[in-house]
Amino acid sequence: MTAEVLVRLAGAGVRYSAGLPAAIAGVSLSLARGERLAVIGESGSGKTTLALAMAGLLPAGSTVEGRIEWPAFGGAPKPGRDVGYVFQDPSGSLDPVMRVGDQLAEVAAAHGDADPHVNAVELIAQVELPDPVRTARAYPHELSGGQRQRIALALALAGRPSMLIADEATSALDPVVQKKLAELVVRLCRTNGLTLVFVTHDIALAAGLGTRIAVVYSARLAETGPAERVLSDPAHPYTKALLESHLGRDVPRGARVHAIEGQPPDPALALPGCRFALRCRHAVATCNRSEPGWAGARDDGAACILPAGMLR
Amino acid sequence: MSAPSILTARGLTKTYRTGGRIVPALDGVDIDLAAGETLAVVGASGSGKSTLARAILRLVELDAGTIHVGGRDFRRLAGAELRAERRRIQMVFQDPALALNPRGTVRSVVADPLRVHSLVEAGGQADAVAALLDRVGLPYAFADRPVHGISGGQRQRVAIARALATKPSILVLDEPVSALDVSVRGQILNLLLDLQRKERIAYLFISHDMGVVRAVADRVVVMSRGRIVENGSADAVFRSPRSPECRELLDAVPALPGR
Amino acid sequence: MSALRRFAGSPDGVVGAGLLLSFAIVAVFAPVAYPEDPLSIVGGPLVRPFVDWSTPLGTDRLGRDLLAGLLHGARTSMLVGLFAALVAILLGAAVGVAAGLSGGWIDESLMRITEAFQTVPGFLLALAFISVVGPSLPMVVFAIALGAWTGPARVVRAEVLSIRERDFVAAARVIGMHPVEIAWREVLPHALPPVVSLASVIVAGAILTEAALSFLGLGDPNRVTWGGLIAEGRTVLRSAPYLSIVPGLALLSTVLAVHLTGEGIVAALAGRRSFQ
Repeated sequence: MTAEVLVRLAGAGVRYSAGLPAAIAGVSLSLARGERLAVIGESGSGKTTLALAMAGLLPAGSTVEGRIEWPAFGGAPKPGRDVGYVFQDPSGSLDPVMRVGDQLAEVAAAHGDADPHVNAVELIAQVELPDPVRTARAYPHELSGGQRQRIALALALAGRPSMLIADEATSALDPVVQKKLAELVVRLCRTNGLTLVFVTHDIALAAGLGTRIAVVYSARLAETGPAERVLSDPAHPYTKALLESHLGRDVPRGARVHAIEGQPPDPALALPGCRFALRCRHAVATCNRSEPGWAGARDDGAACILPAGMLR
Repeated sequence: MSAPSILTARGLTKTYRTGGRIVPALDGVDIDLAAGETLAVVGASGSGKSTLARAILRLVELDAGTIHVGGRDFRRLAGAELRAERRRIQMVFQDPALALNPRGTVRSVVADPLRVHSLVEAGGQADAVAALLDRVGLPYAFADRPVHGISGGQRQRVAIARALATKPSILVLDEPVSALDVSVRGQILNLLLDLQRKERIAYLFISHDMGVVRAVADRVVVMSRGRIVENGSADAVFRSPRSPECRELLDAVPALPGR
Repeated sequence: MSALRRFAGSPDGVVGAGLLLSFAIVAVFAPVAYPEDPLSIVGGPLVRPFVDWSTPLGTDRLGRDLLAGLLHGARTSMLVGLFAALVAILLGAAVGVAAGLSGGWIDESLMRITEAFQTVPGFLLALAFISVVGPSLPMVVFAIALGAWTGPARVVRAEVLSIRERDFVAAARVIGMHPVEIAWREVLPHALPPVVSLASVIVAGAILTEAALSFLGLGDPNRVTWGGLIAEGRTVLRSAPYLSIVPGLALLSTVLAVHLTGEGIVAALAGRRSFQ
């Protein structure tokens, strides 16, 4: 990859307070300008913490371990200006008693826009909402969930950031709306040359979005690599199990579906070995004794002792 | 369907009034459910599928229509008679964190229906709770855990155990796996499939996820704006969808490359 | 546990609870320290404070010990404050749950009654009630509760309106639970926490109302009360102001302590809510 590196994480981790176990630990990966990284994990895996840490939006009192570097910005990115963030619940980022156009204009003005109200309408058009001038005059409650999330997306784009982080931004929506919004996000990133971090629990959704995939499990990075490789040749048994548990529309009713037995370990539990070992079909004795090292390249490998290609 | 229907709903109609506007939530919906089968009700949000589930359970009062459960006119029942008949038709909600009393324990949740319908004799409660937990794959050691102290998948198992306690012939499942993590979703679906195979419980399975529906449904009903726009066997609906709403739902299922 | 820690972390709450605790100890041990009737004459009239150490705070016009009266008065004040608040909250919660769960005309009429009570000042209500039934401790408690139950009723009703839409209440209906049991077991426990933060205001208000009633001579005549002591001292306010000032200060600090404790409880509960 020849493109300029936007962000580089080296052994990065986050602790929300000194007494708590790390919410995410030991993440090393880099992201080049224009790439789209899908971060996949279930609730409590640390995927949102990772996204917040990259955006510099961690709550006060939390500490970042390791390094998060931004070679392209020459320092920490400014939230909103360098990195735009879309949350799962749009009502959290929208003021219920302010017209959405005014909210957009306010953000645009804060970023030094000369003509914020014109820009607000342009932003609404950019997120493909019908009749932008009329939509600008609407209050959040007059819009549907999908439309509100589009406005939240426009708000994130108002500061003209070079990176967009979408944190489960489509998960609360029904599948039809979700698909359209996910497609829009990809389209916007492509046309504006934005770098995307898309956080999701759905590996199939991630498959259609990302050029790169990172899988997190129980506060650890399990695997990362180019989307094509991860999907066709997963190197971590958890990734493989997620792929197998995907329910497409082509698997007819049978006696059972593919399931991963057991559940993720309590994040507070200190385990000497691999955190997936208890649910892993390939686990051997060493897996429970020591945490697996990283196998493969930094941006294309997995935290597993299985030899490459074993799971193909 | 050749099997006799154990749930027959005809002409279910319900309108909501919001700010002067009249919104039809259900507009003449007919449903037939046979013993031991799974009928999936699918649709986008706002299609009326959740209202349908709640109307059949008498959680939402209808404007018109009839609901027969096991031959009895469910809509004509009231008071103690209705509460007694509720035994036959139980429900599992989307988010188990919201559907279990947050102050309860696993035992109190599962034992409630046993007590309400006097299904066990004094002293037999512990055994009955143990048996129910066993059917949903939870050890009896869980009985005295508070419901906020167990994981999402375990909570949904507790909710299923509660629904099974009255030995219902029908379970209404309102998006039972969409609030769960992918890695536990399969476990819950398998539990539901196993239970149905062993005990011939009929499922009315509300969902917007066609991937999940494909894995569990015998028949599919597609709803849009309070009406049924498509109705057929799962195989037929998935192979050759007729309505645009159904095609749109099918298109929205993300596909993995090479599968 | 963590709620307790948050309470301990709020300076208001710690100071308030400390004060309140010492008043409570004083109230509990008053009969031990002064086993005699505080209304009995123990010395000469109008002995100044800090003069005769058998009556450290002095005596009133009839030679009764002010300190004994003050300590026994704490019993009455706290007893009436607590029980009046308890009765008000129970009554209010019952009305609120009934209104919120029933809806329709029951809700309408209960809320109209609540509003009718709210339009009459609570003190006037208590005054009128006591003048009709006569002063006695239980009647004073009830009279004060009569003017204080509307707040809890409205808060509980508002909570119930949102709780009854929650899935676990729907689940209780689905399993066939009786509506009364749903109200009692599923709804009420979740509707009460916001009332707890209201409780301190009600207790403080009840203590003040009781003092005012006693000041007007409408308290229980067989008990020493702070309001009664203040009224007693009023006649000799120029020559012996301490007779009114001391019980006045006791009243002030008790009400302050209750308010501070309430602040601490609100802080503890608020912390818990933001964590969920």
